[in-house]
Amino acid sequence: MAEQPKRSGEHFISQRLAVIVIAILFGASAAGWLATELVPANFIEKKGMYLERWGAAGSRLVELLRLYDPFHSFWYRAVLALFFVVFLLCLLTRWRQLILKSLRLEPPRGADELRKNKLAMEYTWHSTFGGERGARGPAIRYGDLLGKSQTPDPDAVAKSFAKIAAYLRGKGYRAVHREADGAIYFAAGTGRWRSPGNFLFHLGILAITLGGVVGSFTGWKDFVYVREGQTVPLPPDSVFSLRVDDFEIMTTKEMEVKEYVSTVSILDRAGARVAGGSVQVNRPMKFGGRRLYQSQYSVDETSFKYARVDYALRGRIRRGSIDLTPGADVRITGTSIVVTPGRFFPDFRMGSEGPYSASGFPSNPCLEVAVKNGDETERGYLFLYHPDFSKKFLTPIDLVLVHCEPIFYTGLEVSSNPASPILFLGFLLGTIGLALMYLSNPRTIKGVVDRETLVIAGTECRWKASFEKELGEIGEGVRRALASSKE
Amino acid sequence: MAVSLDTNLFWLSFWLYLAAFVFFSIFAAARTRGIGVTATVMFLGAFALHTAGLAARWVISTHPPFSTMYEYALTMSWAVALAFIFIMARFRRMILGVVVSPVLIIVLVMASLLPKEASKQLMPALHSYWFYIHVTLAAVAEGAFIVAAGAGIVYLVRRKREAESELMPSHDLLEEIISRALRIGYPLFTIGALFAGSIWAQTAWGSFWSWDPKETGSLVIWLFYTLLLHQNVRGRWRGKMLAAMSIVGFGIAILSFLGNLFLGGMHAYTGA
Ligand code: HEM
Repeated sequence: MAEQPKRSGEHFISQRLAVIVIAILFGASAAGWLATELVPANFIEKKGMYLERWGAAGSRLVELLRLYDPFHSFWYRAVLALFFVVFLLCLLTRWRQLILKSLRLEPPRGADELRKNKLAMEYTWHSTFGGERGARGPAIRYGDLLGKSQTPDPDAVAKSFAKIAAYLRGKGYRAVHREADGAIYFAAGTGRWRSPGNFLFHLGILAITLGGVVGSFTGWKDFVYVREGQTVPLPPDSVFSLRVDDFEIMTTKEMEVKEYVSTVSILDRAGARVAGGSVQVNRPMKFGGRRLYQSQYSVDETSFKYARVDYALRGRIRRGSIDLTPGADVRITGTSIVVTPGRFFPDFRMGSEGPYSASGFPSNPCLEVAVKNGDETERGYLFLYHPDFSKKFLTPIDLVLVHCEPIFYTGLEVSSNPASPILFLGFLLGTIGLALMYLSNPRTIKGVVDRETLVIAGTECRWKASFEKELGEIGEGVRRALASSKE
Repeated sequence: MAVSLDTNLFWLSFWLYLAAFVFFSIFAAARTRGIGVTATVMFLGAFALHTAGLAARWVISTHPPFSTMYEYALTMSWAVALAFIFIMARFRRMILGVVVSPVLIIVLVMASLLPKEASKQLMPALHSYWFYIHVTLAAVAEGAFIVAAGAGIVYLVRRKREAESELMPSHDLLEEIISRALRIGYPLFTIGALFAGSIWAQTAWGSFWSWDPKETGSLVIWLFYTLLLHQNVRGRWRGKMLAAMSIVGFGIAILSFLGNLFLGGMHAYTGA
């Protein structure tokens, strides 16, 4: 019976195990994915509501299996642990075979082993030599090549093999051979980086899995909200403290956010600055094994840092500006008019219960002011971007808000992941491994040269259709190499 | 916003892809070489317009075209077209166009439904080399998976006894195309979607992995293809099964794409 050419990896029993654990992990991940789509993450907070909707049994099931957060559930962790252990054991017990598989070339034991090969069977070697005899076999018979009457001289075997090996080397195949009983048994292979690459990739994935597990136990993450100028203890241990010197939201003219920048200083116990720099999205700052990320920000929705208001006195040719800070009255010089800032709304909206700020983003800053002239007090809103909507006071003064600096809080994430070197190592190994594995295209050709026959068969390949074509060309090439008189 | 140059180019390329699809279909029925060549030329023309559109978009928005769902769809379909052209050049079989061109058309129609404004400004988090590597590789990988699925469809509809011809590849050759496309897609997906993606997440959000729906979606896709390759290597999923599974894999990828559209999460692209 014709044998299929072997493809890589079939002879490892553990391949079956690998498929089983990968399938289990796939199933569990798909289930978890589905759960995140179907079960809202706020299940625990709104348990009452869901109890009504899904009934006691349903809610109990969701809770038991932690379907609102499936990837931290016991069952998913158990599957991950299983995967990790099997994977580790597989690699530990088989690393040698895994690395060496494509590096090792073994000459065939005999010609019959090759004659059974299906891939070579599919190619009619005889036709290559012009004699269409209908026989479909892998053998190139010297009889066909040199004429039946001729018997090659005793050196012919070695000479022929040398020609074949040289030809194959030119094609990128490295040949090894063994001599026995006046015959030469050879194997020629290419794409030998595949197995080492494959091993590195598996090792990389193992490292990444390990890094994930280590990270989830040893990593931590903390948030601090800090106002400009404020100093807070730096997580995790408060040995150092963190001062935010400045926080800025850079925007384009269209008010789209370009960048968030916190300028921070790290202070030691004595208050001396030991480190500092700027923190931006995508540009975390490193300090003592932890990283500081620009994670969020907010605006004090009740107060502001300072505001500048231009005024014009109606009926007089007097203009000027005043600077307002929270809670401080400012008298317009030469008049009895006093301006007092009130509430501040970074994103002003008028609701049914009065004004409120729709967000912490200063997209419609509004300052409430009180204008006092003698006993009369008027209140009104001044809008930074929509001065036309600002209050027109009865008091003969027009006010225009020209600048208003909110009080920003920057939200910094302080975190540490001791496993990140393991993870980066994993990414590196994995990438190198993939490159080696997929840039190589392993193929093996085996053959036997003896005084009567040359048998060549393709024994291993990844892509049969191309390999068949290539073998055809190689058969023709070998024929020409043999026929040439060049030594 | 006025219809800009890039949008015009995309529409033109869309109509030309559509025409190519019509011709590929006629070609599939009539098996006349001239029609196939015409379809291929149309396809190449559409691809050129598509490329020009992406370049125009890049220039207009001043950043590579990946930052909105619309741009991502255009880049991904471009990668599909590119992968298809590669395979055509290598194997000289035009019949794949019958399956690849409608997929392109579907993606482009989906894209046309998305908001198109070119934003000059990326969300700060998207401002990173890792992000660009992540998205480019993931898009090319998905393009390769689509080609594998396309070849899988041709494999399944091809009649068993149909003679191999210049037009219709043999089952062996189709299997090879699927297998090669998977082995282009898999490493790119691994490096791009998973490795670069988590490095980007680490620099932007401080954690490599946060189990957000899009991330778990790509994990599921990746595990599926890992399973598929192992089964293939050990001789189980070959031939018809390989063809069917490459289509299933693509189905899972589509689910992840749709999940992202409806669910958002960290990967809700700006503006979409
Ligand atoms: C559980 C234990 C595992 C074992 C024992 C195992 C074993 C193997 C073996 C023996 C091969 C064939 C090697 C060759 O042909 O030279 C292989 C191929 C491969 N394995 Fe694994 N593997 C395991 C898990 C994994 C995992 C978790 C991944 C996912 C990253 C993975 C990814 C791959 C890939 C991508 C290939 C190459 C497939 C191809 O394109 O031909 N393996 N594995």
